[in-house]
Amino acid sequence: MQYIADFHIHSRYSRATSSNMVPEGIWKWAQLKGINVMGTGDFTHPQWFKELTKKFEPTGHGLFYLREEYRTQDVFPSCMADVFFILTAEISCIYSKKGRTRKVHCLIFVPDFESAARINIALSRVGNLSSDGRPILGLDAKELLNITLDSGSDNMFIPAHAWTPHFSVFGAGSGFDSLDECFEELTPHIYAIETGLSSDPPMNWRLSALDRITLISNSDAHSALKIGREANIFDITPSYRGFMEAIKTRKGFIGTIEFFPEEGKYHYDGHRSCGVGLSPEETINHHNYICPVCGKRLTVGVMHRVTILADRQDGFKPHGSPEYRNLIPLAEILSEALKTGVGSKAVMEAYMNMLKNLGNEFSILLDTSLDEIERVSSPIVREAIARMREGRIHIAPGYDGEYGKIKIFEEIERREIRGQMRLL
Amino acid sequence: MKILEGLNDFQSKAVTTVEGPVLVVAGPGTGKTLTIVRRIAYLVEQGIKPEHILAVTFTNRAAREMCERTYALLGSRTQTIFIGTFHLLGITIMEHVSGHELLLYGRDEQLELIRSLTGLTSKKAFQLVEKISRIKNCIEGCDSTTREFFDLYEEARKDRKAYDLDDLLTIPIQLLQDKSDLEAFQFQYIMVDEYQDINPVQYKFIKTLGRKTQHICGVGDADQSIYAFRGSHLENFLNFTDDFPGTKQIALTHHYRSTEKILHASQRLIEHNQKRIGTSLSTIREEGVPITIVSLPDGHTECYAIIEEIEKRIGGTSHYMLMKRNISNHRGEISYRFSDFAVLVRTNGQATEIAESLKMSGIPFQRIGRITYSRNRELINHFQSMLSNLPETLDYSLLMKEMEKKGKIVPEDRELMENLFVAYGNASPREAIHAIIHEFMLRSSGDEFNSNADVVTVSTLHAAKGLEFRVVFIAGVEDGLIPFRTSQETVDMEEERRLFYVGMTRAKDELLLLYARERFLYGNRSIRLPSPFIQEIPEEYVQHIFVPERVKEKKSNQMELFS
Ligand SMILES: [Zn+2]
Ligand SMILES: [Zn+2]
Repeated sequence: MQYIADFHIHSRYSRATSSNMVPEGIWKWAQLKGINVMGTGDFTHPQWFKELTKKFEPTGHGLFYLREEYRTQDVFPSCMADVFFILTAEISCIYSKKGRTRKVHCLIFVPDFESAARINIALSRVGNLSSDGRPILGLDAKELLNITLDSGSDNMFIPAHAWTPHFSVFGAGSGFDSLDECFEELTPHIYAIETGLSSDPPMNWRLSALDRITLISNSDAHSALKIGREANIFDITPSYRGFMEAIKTRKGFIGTIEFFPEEGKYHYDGHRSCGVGLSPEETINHHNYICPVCGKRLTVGVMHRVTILADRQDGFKPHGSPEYRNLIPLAEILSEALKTGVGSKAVMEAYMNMLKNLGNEFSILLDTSLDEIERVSSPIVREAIARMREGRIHIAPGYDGEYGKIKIFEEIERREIRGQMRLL
Repeated sequence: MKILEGLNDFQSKAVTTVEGPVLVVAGPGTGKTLTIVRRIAYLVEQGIKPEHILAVTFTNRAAREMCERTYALLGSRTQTIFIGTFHLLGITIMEHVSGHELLLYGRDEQLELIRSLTGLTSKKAFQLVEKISRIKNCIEGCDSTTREFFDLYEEARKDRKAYDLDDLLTIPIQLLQDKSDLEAFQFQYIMVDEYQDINPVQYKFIKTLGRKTQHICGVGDADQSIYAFRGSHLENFLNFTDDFPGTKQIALTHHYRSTEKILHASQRLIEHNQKRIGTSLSTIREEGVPITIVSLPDGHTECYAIIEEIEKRIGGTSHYMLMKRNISNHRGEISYRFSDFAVLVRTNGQATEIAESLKMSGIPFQRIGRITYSRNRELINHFQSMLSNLPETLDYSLLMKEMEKKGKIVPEDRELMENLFVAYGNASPREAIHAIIHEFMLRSSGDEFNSNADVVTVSTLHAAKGLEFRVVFIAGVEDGLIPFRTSQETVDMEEERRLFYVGMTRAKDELLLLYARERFLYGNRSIRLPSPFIQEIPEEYVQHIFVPERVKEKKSNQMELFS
């Protein structure tokens, strides 16, 4: 059976995270989104950890259920499904190596509360875990890997959003040029990287050094609506070991659900405050890394960084690499179709209506027939989803923290579609 | 010759001048420890028996460093050299004479004893312990009410055959005087580090040890004498040449730490003092950036300003910070780590406020220089006592309740315990308790500087002595705090200036002096004036930043002080 998993999210104890990121809310939204396996996030945070030990119950296979008494009654019958949880956390390592400041975010997976507690004990020796669900530690990422491995033989360590400029292992601002440079002799313990929103598998395939690395994708959601904007598809019998083995060997790892990387907020280079977004080519050839507005150094994005570290041409596909699908979150499609904000009441109503009638969001985006979609929405929404599925969309790429701007329709097209509708 | 390798002329001279009394004047950042270590090595190379060499210093940290560096140079030959604190020397002499290990009372045990004898509150007991210590160190006399407590305490201590830290100085002096043939302690070459900080009893200790030798070497810096409140006598240092006739005085004048701007500014400041030897230092470092003097509307903005300046230099610690405060990597290549930063303050109250803000920001930090008695010790004792009478199973909530009865449990203790209980949930009670003890032991030196921790240091000016950081913030550079004034006592301006000087000279690359125009202090909002010491720093070394009052409407922008 296929399982969709989103391992990297944050709890309400993380900075700038919505108060709906509680066990009950995550459980509910996982079903609305169509996710079968959720990372808990933030197990290093004392209060969140306490809440997890109270509200979750081990399945016996390294996974967890939300205890019966915490399950709410407000999930549409069309979306109801089992949700497994897996204990995960993200650490922000900020340190200096070889004379440069390094900032590397890392994901940790553990099979049980005991292993999580051992990691918490070790980390609380070097820093404070209670200020943030994603704690900042003055700890070398390699040392964190060491601690992870020492705290339990089944523990897994995966560099998070590996390409973002400021906080990642390959980041232009404060990362490294290779996994070896960061993890040295422990590099063989790195089986996967998280590609992040601004990169997709084809970009990563351009580095032969990543051929042995599994490319996973997660939402890094700070609010419930963003859960599952990227995810992983497995075909295995669900257990902690099963998921980890699939990540290690890619057997049973079917592939990933991806953002369109252009939509990610660090795809291109630029300056957010100056409103300047540039392609790598423009940055290098026309601007020499200098912002044309303020004259300061540009923030180098993910595309650029990939181009620099790549040893293969664009378009290369390694043999046997898992599949991927690019999606746009349904709320954004509706926002584009209805020409109103993502958070608006109209979008939320349309969104909930579709879920209620058709099932969870992933099934709508991936599988539901266009006729059925049109039946509960409109021709414009139908056309938008059709175009998204075919990749026939325009995106002004994101840069320096600014999300890319999606454009599914030109104004003239929009009128045409509406016109056709009238004629029918 | 390897021993003199890499030393400058003054250091070499200090290393090789070993006969007769020597005074080495070693300003901040002049390679003092290096010089002492090489001098020890030189003596050994000259054929002096290692057991005839004594190097005594003040803090465990300094002693540890000296030992490690000497060992690196001499290997196992170091073993019979005595390198350690006054207290270590004292207990060594006492145990040598008594022939067995002695029971030592630290501050915690003293407090326990006082409390059980008198029923005083923790705070009162703490004050009494301090007072007893001062009396034993001949810093103050003993009035009749204290006398009663003093005698009570001494009697009980003797009953228990225990010795407190102050006994480790007074008793050995007596022993040395009574048994002038204490052979194991016939030191020929004596070195005293931080000579400017010795108090009357320590002075007597040295004099007694050095009765039979001329080769006494004092190392120190009059300008860094900051322990008058603990009874240290700067005069001992200033009068060294008269005290030990024929003294050769050598000044280490090459400075290796601070930039020219920082060094010169602090030199010009300290020149306002009368009680000093007055050597001038020259740095091998570049000119550097000016000292930044920041005027802030209040104490809160002071905390924000510090956090923001750290964030800027690190290039933002989170996306949230990058978005919120417009902090970016525009500076180009950055190389800072958290341990490059220190925030220094005059009082523990200020340190608490800054520590709270750092905690909120998520920036990792360590706090040093707090005078607290360790709650860890009590908890460890409690767990150790459990080992002899182990329960069948460990009941978490019951154990927490018992711990709470024992004293104060801070949130960190509780969080640690919760994790320990989960981690050792399936272990035997014995294994679990051992793990708990181990974990609390690891954390017991909580207030001591940990050089391995990559965290921002928050410290009092006093506790920062001997440390160095790339970027130093001194907060609350205001009249009343620096110099520190209470209504009762007159201010020793020279001592306060020295303390500020010590703070300034901790900085390698950048020094920021912050003061608030208004501050909530001792329960009152008060208008503040900048420290008079700021006036003593010539304008050519500084730049000023004035941060205006916050505009109330723009609450979200309150962080952007310097943009
Ligand atoms: Zn992250
Ligand atoms: Zn710009």
